[in-house]
Amino acid sequence: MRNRLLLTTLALSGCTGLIGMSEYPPGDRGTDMTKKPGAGPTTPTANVPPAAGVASLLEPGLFGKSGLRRLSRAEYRTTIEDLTGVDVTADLALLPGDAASTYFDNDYTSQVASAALVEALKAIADHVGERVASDPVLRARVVPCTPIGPGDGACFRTFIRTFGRRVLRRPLADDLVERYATLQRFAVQDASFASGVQLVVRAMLQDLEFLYRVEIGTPVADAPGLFRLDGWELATRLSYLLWGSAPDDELLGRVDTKKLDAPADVRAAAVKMLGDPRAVARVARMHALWLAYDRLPHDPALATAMRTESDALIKRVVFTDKRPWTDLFSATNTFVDAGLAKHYGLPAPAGNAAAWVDYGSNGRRGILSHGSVLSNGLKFGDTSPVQRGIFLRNRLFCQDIPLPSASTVKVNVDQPPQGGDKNACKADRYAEHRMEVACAGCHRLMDPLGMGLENYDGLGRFRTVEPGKPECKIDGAGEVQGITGPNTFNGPGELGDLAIRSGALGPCFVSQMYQFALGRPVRDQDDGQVLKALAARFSADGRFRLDDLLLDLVSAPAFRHRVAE
Amino acid sequence: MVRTISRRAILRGAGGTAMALPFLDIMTPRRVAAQVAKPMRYFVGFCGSSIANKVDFYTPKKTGRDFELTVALQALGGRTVDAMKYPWDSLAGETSVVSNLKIPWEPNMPGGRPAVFHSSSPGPLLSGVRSTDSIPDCRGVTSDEVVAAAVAGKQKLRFRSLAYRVQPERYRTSYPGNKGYMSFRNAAAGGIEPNTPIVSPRLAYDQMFSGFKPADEKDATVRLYALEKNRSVLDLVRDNSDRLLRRLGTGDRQRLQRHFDEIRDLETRLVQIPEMMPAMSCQVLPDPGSEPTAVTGLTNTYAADRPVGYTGEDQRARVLSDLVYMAFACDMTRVATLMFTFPMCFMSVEPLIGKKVDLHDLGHGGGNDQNIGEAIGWHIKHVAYLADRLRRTTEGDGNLLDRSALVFVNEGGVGFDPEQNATSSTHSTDSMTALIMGGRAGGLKPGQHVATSKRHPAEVLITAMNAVGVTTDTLGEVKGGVRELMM
Repeated sequence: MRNRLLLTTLALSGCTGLIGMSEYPPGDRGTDMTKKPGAGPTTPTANVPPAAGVASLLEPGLFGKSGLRRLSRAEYRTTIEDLTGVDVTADLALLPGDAASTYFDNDYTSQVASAALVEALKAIADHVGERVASDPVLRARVVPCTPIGPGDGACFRTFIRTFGRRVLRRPLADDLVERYATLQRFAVQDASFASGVQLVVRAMLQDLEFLYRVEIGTPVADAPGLFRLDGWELATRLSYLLWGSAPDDELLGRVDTKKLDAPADVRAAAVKMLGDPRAVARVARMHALWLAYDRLPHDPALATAMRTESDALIKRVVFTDKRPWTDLFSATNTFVDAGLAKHYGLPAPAGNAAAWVDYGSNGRRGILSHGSVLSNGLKFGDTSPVQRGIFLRNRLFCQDIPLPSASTVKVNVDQPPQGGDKNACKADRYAEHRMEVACAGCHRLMDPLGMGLENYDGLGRFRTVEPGKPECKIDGAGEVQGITGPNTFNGPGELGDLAIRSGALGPCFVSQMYQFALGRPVRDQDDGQVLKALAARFSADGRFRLDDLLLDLVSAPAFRHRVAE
Repeated sequence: MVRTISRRAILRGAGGTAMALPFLDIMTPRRVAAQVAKPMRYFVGFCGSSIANKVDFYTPKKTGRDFELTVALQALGGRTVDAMKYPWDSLAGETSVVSNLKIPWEPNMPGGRPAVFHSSSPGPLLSGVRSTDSIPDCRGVTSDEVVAAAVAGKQKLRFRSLAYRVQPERYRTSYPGNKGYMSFRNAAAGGIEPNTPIVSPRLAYDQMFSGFKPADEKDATVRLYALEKNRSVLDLVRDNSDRLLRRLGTGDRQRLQRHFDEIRDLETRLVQIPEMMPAMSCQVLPDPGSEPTAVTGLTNTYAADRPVGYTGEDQRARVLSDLVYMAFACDMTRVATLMFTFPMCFMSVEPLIGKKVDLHDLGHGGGNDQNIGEAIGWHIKHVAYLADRLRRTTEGDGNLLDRSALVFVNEGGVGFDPEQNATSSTHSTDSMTALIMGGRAGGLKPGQHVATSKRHPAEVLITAMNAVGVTTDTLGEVKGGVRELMM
């Protein structure tokens, strides 16, 4: 069965229901719904070659242009902890927030330096330097030799070379080592080797090559603007994509021994990296940013339990069971502790710890049933079908919903529909969006979508009536306008089914992952080509294997090259 | 709390907690002699709230002199109103209220905005350039940046300008846009980019004073040695950055240029410490201590599931106001912006005025119009505090307030909302009000309430720019000025 979103166009409103999809169609084949999710093979991924044709679609230069990118706050924190063992979480408040035009925190096109940034980076670097110098355990971690005295130049240089290689993610040239070594004069003056270590740490953590992912590469003959990345640059791309942190010694060692040159070598390295807990955390965080639950506005215990629930599902589907990624939207059980189970009205897990609990036939299935996701789209003190509709259109289907324009519509977006009649039930109040022709064009895409989740409140709890209005029964009937075939649903489980069947979910996710990987929004036709290839690969044979997708991505020639801006 | 002003005139300072600090050893009379006769300072404060739903508790009814002190303007009364809360002499004579300002809600008009309210007004308000969507960023250079560029052309000060924000976070993430900027400048690579504000009082303090001589210094050697280390580290960072820049292509080089420039400025600030402290009232402020932390357990009675936050904004505003004051007093900069609250602000006002709701919801039924006036009044309290400190500081033959133009603006006004076709709403840029304080030495005539005939609020900024010596009748697309504010 082939499902495509309808190409209905409402000229007035600009709400086609197809934005994004018309640009990046989901490849040649839709998802076969007769095939059970999970029917795909689960053979060891390293041995699976890319689907025919995909490699050529990801040839050098096919990735769109890229530019220098500063570590996000999260990457900066993780990297410093990995490099030095110092946790700078508390210091992050000094840094300006990450500006972004994507759903992620690493959009380099929005990054602007400022005095505030540079001052904060200095303050944090000074702090870390001080911590490392004053703590023998931390110091031993970065200084691989035992100095015979404060002026031990050989040991100081060994420290600069090893630590510098990790921080700057490449070997240091001799002249650079010597420039850093000049700081040892303070160690001599202070009669303390650690004093020199402190200054080197302070300086390196402010180095632009640490703070930014510098990619220069070698010009490719007869391809103006195309550069082949060297092994160090590739290792950095790999580790920040898969780990959100700097390459470790092992990965840098692969570069040293030329074990990161051939695509098969890159793939092998990436397979190893995907086995690391950092990859699990990275993929989980990417989803949390995509579906907007990275910072849940709840009581900390509840927020943590919800986050654990969603992270556990992602880990199981993608990493442990290696199931089709679409299982995230159809899983029939969930990972909850007793508190969260009670919160949802589910049976408590056996034992004290969190465990997998079956949903049974209660209408919940997959991540859309999680409190984390259902915390989105609230307004006027309750769930908002409009906001949830916008949220789902934006995030699940990569569709934009334009703001109401003053010339066609007079609305106050800060008052509930028919805000004057507070006693009316929500379904009746929101009916005005359907009545007004000027509103209906866009709201048909939002309201019916949100209405199908109305049985679930802003904390993800099931309910049958509106809060404080027992006379207002919620029927939970929803509709996904813009797809062919049956398009009605009731609750998050059935919505997950429709999302999968629409054929739009996979390509949308691929587009989001691409933006996360490149650290910028999708912006031109080149991107469209890549996305098409990746989406086709992702959905091929209904496999939807995220690990394979990542492996194809990082081992593709395109990942090895950059196109100058 | 920080109360120290200057060694001489100011020791009578509020609360009797004044604390004398020694002069910095680096204040040099020759520098004073080299000063321009009357250097002027420029300040813009921003409040992320409109004025009222219906009844305005901010704008006085009476125009001209001796306007009445409304709910929002209580702090101007100083001791006569509340000696504990406002321990200063009346500032009413130092303040002009400018009302009935209007940003046209027509994006095709110069300095206009689209009908959608949040957050289309800060752009035209602060830069005079129209916004065409709800992204709050300015599309043109803001007034502070115009002044900073003019000053920088004449004199190299320690800071080209200061950009601070009091509210550290938005507290609610469900709305898009980066709304924490109020200062924008030309980017090296073309276009407009923000001057990202410092939000940490700790960082702002260290930026201003690190390397300076502490009050109880026994031996300067230690400090100077630490300074030497600092310089060596930064020198290395700058040198490496310079080498890197030369290896990069044009696009990436432009991307890094600003970062590089900021490193160089930081290094220059360290090198220049001995040169920068000319005025007699210039002091190292007492250490502000640790960063104010988030208050937990705040509730929102208007909508229980809509998160609000508070991170010691009152304390933050005080420290940052002190730093602005001292930067002006020391002539470390002549330009500062202080964004008290974000546009569409989700800061809880509970610790400030006792209502369990955020500033935004206060304007949508979470409180009444008087409460909105009280919340604006909290902002004005801090502006008044700053003005008072400047007034009590002598420079040359006058005081610093006379040589400063302080402007305070709000995100919106009260009146017609084109978005909802409502006659009276907080979602309006009709009937906006602004304050302008001080500036006598630059020709301002404070102490009056001027009701304009729907002038653009950017015209108040143009007038303030004129008062500090920038000769122009234009900010962005807006032309004019409020002549009645001048002598």
